[in-house]
Amino acid sequence: MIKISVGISELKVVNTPATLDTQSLGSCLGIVIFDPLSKVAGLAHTMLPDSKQANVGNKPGKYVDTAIAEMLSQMTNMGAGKNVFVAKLVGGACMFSGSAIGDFMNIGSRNVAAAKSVLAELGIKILAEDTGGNHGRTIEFDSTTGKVLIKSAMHPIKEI
Amino acid sequence: MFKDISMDALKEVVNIGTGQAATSLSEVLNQKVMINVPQVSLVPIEEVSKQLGGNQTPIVGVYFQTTGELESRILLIFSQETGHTLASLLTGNPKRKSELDDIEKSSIMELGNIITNSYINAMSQLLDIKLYPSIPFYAEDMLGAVIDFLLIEISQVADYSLLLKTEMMVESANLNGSFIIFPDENFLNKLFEKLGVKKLEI
Repeated sequence: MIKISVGISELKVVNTPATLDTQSLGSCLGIVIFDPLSKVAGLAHTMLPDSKQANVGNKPGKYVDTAIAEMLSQMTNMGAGKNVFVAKLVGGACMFSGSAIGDFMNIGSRNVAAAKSVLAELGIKILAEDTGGNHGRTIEFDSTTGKVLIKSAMHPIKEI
Repeated sequence: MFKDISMDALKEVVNIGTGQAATSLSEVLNQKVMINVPQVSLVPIEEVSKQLGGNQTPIVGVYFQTTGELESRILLIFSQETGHTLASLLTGNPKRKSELDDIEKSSIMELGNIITNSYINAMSQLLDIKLYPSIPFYAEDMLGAVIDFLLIEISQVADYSLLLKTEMMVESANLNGSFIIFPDENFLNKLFEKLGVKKLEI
């Protein structure tokens, strides 16, 4: 099986059996979308909730809204069926604790909220999520099973 | 990229600040602390983690923001090993293999305070400006996860991040850490104005 790594602000889509991995999601949000029938699947490592607030760059993988739209478009082109997509969300933590944390340190929860709202609008069901908290997550997504393996520095390995 | 004279001035100022920070660290630990000359680099956002030691590297990090006439972000990174040794030296507790307890975390934050305040005091005096540090923010986790909120913030205005990294080492106790300043364009322009050198040119 091929192994594909997705860097920060990137997205990758596959139509052959593969593992897609991305490292050390903190406030960033990992978005997995797949079609369980055709096994066409994608993973994005997003940084910010909304491309409309963008000042620089045009990387679709950087924003939750554009990452989802771009993955769906590429996956449909690869032969995924329409209206059969499902999703999983991982990340969106707040790595620092305390009452004085600034808005920007809490960007993780806004990323999660944005993904939920965009997916709901598109009628895409979220099968599972491991979001929030205050720890980092490295994930490996298996496109043949739809399972996501989650590794953390301080917590045991988890599968969703 | 930059005018050489601006870069030299920047390194010199930061060197004085971090030199002062190393002196306080040395006093707290009662050990000789070595520092290198600050390294300045302009790095694409995606490459910052790699530059600082790799996404998955376990670290203990303390983060500060400075406000006043020069706003900037400061991050102290210790390898997890060093962080745990420091916590043990500071509290007298045996060294931990797992996550630090609250008192040990506080001791690391306080150490961060001392280092950062020395840097800030040196900078304030040198440049004759007012600078205030925030309270310390503590995180122990993989490096990439600890710094991604920072990258997110920087990435809203630029695809690159400027890093001013100074490494600190205590050879006798096998400790190492980095003191990293993430200056933005505004910071640099104000700094150069104070120093009377030509404006930043990227």
